[in-house]
Amino acid sequence: MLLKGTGTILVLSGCMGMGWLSCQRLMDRERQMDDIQSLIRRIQGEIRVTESPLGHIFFRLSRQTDEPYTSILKTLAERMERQEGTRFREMWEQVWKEGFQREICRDDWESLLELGKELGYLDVHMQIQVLDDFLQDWERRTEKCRRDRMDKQKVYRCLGVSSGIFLVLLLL
Amino acid sequence: MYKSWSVILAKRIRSVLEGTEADSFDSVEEIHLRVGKPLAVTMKSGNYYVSNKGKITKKWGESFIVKGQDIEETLEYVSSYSRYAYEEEIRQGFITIKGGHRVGVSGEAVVNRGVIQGLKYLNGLNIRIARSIPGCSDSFFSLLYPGRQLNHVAVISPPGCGKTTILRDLVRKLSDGTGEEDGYRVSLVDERGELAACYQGIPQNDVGRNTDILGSCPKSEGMMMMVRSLNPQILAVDEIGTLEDWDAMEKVFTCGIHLLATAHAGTYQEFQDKLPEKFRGSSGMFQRILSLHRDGKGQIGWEVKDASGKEIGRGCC
Repeated sequence: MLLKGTGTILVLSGCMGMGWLSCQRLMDRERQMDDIQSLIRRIQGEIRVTESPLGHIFFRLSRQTDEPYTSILKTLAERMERQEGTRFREMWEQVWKEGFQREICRDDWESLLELGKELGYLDVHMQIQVLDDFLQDWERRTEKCRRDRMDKQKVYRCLGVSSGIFLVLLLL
Repeated sequence: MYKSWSVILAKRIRSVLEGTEADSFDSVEEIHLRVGKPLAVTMKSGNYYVSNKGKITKKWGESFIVKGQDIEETLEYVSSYSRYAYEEEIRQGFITIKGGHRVGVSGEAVVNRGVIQGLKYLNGLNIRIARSIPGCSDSFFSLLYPGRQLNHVAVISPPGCGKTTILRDLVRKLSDGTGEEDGYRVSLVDERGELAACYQGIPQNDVGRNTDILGSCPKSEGMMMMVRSLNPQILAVDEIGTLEDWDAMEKVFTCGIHLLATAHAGTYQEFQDKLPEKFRGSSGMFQRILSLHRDGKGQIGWEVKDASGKEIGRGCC
């Protein structure tokens, strides 16, 4: 009896835990979307106000952000300073791929990597416009992600509990 | 020296130059990148091309041809991956990079109501390699400033005789002083960025420990700003000549600040003719005039005259 009870608790916890983990991943994804939006907005603000080179902006912002963005920005700034002869778009992609544990979906990820092709080569006005367009698109993606999360969270929680109960009944 | 400027070149160009002996580029003065044309270099002895194997040659037939993407990539590195941050410099036609080297930009100007807004369809870059010559003013320094007496000094010459190089060295010596004597507070108005060659605000050329630099500012306004805020003992400025410049210099003169300036003039008399009436002759502004000229062998000769036009000394740099 004790054994069955323990097993029931374990199976239920396991299934609910999986449901919870899936919810957590959705929340992580949404949080990353928000963080990236905030970061790009700050980069845009710096360009608008200071018109400093990107390396300076990244270095400055690296001291004001949290990980993993601190390391990403600092690595970008250092590589740009070293003038290693790599195009910016390649550098942007490499650093993000190496330094970012992504939870965001593939589409959003590729949009972020594509941003590297749009940074640095335009005049100030066009640069700010391009970042505006990116941020608007990202806002739309974040909103979709948020709606997804709200819909799926309930489903995952229910699935977690119901699958746990189902397994318990099956095993019993 | 080669390494300080080669890093800004496009990968394709760097890979051609990597096979070359680095010291064969030591005497290169300029590197020319032109779309669809051979990669060219200027040295003291003339113009040359760079072959596909990285050799410097007079034969253009086998030379490395520059593509549009090479110009674009090089400009990306030159502008620190941030072309928007160098709009003003591009509008002026050049960007100063680390090491004090200058990259001139050519293309099609975008003009709005007679004012250049920028450049489009970039078709060329000209990299001018910076070389300071510390000590180039040693031979006449004591004639310009006998016993460390501060004079108002003008350095005059036709183009290409080293006025800017000598002005830079004079500023450095005055600012640093000698081992026994303190340096002076020098303010330097570096309108075209050729003297201090500031890169992101940091001077790439040595212009002395006690020198304040105002870059990319019109000379006449720059002079007044520095007089008001920096309390200089000496104010140095390159290539004076407009009415506004003379007016500003008169104000500086009346503040008791000593002037060190350069001007385009082939001879002493030509310089006197350019000066406003009140600044000419023995009661005029400049107590010492240093004239430079190139002789037939390309060497630079100098003469120092006092306010009355009497020669005090002459020699070769």
